[in-house]
Amino acid sequence: MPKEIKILLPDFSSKEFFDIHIQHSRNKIVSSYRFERWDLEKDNPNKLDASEFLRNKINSYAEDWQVSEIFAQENKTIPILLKKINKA
Amino acid sequence: MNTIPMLKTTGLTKIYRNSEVETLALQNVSLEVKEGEFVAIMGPSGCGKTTLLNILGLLDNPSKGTYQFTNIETSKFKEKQRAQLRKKNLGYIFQNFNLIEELTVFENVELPLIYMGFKSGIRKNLVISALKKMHILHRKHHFPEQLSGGQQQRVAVARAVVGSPKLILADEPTGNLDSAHGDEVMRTLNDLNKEGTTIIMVTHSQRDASYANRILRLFDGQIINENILQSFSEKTIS
Repeated sequence: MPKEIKILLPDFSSKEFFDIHIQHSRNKIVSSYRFERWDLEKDNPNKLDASEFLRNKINSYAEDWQVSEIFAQENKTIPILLKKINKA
Repeated sequence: MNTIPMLKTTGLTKIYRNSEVETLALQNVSLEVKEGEFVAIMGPSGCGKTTLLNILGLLDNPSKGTYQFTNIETSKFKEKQRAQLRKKNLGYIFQNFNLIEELTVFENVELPLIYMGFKSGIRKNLVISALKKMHILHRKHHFPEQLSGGQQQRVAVARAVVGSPKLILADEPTGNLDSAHGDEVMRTLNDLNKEGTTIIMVTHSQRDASYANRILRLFDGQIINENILQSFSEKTIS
């Protein structure tokens, strides 16, 4: 059964991100996650609504990352957790 | 997995109005769910997940758009018509179990069969079979308050499946459970899905969502992303 854990990250700006690697007993990295904030004002020159903005950002993101979780909007940023796709 | 669509929505929109404000809870949601699928709906609080589940579960009508359930257009149905379709085809599992406190475990699970018009002898057999399957038969004469949260949710699952519904709708089914009881409920839903029952589940939990074949992500009442998942058995560390 996979286990779900919660961890704390320090505060950070929308220009930064965290990469989190899950390593199995010092062997291979079994999965990698990236947590970042997308800024609805600074990253959104066309002033799209939040849903359209998210859709565009997700579709134009590097292909080897997929959305894992979208969190509630905080001020003008939307926190996003992405997961790296393991290619066979 | 079958490729026949069990349900299909086009441009589904839900607006809640009162005298002062108008809230757009769902906006132009188009989706299709095939028989045998296990679909998770995720998104932040207030994004419209439960509103969508309520419409898909024929508990509410959309303000605009179409909703075909088993090829029947339901978006303009009156409550009586929705109730007819619900009792024949749908089972529900809620975060807070929604068991009737005054009824025993047996009576709670029997209730949908009474609405469906089954005779007493058949009802008894079906209820016993559902309770056995959920490993809760030994508690059949207990009342909900005498059970743990995990046991209450197992009764709620028994009630949802007792009439052999085509589709089970689950709204945060593990939300009030600790991880051990949550796992138990998710394994049960996984088993039901493997037996052919279609499941649509709203969840905040990535672990619960990992049981699904597909994840739909909602934000501000719109589907903004969809992931197809590998089967659960492929996810263990090799």
